[in-house]
Amino acid sequence: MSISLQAIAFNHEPGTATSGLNIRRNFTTAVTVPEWLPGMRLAQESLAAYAAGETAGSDLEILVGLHSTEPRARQIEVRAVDPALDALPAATDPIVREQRRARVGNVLGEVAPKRLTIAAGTSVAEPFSLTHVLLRQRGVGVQNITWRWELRVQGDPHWRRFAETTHRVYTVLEVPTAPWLSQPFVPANTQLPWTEVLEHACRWAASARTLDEAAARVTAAVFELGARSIRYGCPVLGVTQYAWPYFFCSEFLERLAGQPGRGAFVNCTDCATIVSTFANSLGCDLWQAQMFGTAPFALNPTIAIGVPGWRTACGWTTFNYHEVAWKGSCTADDEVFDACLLVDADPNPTFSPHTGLLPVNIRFGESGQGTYRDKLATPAGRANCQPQPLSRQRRVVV
Amino acid sequence: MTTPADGELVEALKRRHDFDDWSGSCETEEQLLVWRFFLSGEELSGWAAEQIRELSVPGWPPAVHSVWTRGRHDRLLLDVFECPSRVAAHELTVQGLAQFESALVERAEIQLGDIAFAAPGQAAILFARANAVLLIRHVTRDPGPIPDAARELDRLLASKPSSVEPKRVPALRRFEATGAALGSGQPAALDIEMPDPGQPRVWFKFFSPTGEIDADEERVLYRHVAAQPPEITAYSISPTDGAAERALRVM
Repeated sequence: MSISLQAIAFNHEPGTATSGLNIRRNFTTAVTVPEWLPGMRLAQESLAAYAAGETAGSDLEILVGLHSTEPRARQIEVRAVDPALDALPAATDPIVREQRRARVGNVLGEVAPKRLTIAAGTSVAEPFSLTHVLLRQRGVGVQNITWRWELRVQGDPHWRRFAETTHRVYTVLEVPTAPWLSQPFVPANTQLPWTEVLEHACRWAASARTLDEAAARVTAAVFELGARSIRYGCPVLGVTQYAWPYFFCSEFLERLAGQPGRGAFVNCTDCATIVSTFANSLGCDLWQAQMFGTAPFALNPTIAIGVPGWRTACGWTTFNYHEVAWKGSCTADDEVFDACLLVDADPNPTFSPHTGLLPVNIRFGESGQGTYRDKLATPAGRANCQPQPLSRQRRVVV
Repeated sequence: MTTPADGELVEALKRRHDFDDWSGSCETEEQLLVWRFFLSGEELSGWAAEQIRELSVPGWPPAVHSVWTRGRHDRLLLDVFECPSRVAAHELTVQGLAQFESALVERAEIQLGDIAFAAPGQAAILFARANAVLLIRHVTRDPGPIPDAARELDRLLASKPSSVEPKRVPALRRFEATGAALGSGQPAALDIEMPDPGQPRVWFKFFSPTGEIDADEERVLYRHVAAQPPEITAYSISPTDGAAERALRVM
């Protein structure tokens, strides 16, 4: 039987909960819909992203293009199954089958069977429902999925395979927030969420099911980059390298890919921008915001990203300012995520011994409360380590 | 573009670095405007451009961001911002100062630009020349001083071409203004017709001993301040072929 698959569109109704997210690959390259076309053999060629929160309770659909070269009209039924479940005999206990599906199944499940009539020599574009979708159960992640496409003609009990497609699917928790802009969905909108960012963010925060959990994992992953690819820029006085005046995200992605990018040095502004931008691609809602006062503030010993040993940043005794990823209104009552420094977890951070603590979801706090401010600044320095809510921003990605 | 609190930090830095003493200062004999600047990769002796990226992001001046290499590991980051005026460049310079997390950045002791700041050891240098702001960092494993690269860039911006190549480098096709407009004492837009787009790409330096030159979107503005008649010379700069010259025609 001569039926062929012509196209698969995940983001077939942009902006709706039954559809994929509006995305692009990077600053220069858009993702076009339909995301799959004949000739695409690699998952990386066919990209889709979904927000688990937004799609909860909605029946996800894809739009499928089919073409018939049959000599006459046909009534057919079409579906796509998950080959990962093939290993199980047909008689497998449904509970065992579901357990296996939960472990290794496609995050987008399967394409439910649909009956349709296709006229001789014509093409149709039909919406198909997805079943056994695992977006919420899995949480944040990225997965290559494969669908084996099957059809049968009316009256025939046997399914026949007619195509196999593979796709790369990113799961975020909520629709990405600024600096990412999901509208307008046009190639000129360079601030659409980039799949090259999701590629890292989804791996860093894999399996996270809450926004705080995702932000914490992204923060930890960025700090861990200090072990291999970035480090605090002591010789250049901690000047911003990747995030002034906008976020050189393309160059940072190059760095993550093992290329030079804009070099190994980073500072607090870079780290705050990286954490918030990558976490916000997963649906978090973090700002880049600063703390400073009328004069530089004195520092407790910390471990700067990629620079081993406890010392006051690079041996300087003060910071002009410091910048972190910050929740809410970026006040003393709001929590911070700082991938730039390990602070001392114990109640007396000014003196050794020191116990490393990565500040994730820690309240900035008032002086003397033992929270982030006290851990970063000395007792004398805290007066000039003031939260600056008006500094909050989300730098454009370029 | 600053956030309100960036503004506070900037104000604190202005006080700390005596902004009022140097704001608006001009170290060239004539007023200068750098316009439509770009990098070709030929500008820094001994360095090869690995990446050059021109960006025009709303809220910020047009900029050229570049990475240069020397040998296998030596690496230089150079960001050049083309502000609309010298005053705007000095404001942006302080915003650049606000990107140093350390408080140890200080006025550079070398002769550079209209104003320059550097890290001790000169592995990071921030300076303004006319309406341009440049931030240069040595980002190798063990960064060393980079004043030579900074000086070379400064000369590129501030020097008058010693010779011109009118046959090889396209000049402005029209460069004129009415005497009435120039005599008003207000900024007057100069009537400029760019070289043919099919010709080699050039950038421009405008020099004037008689008035201030700024840019406004696509226009070049001149404000006459001297007793003698207006005098402006526009140089088209080709990175590879030299320069062409065109004097303002006053009608």
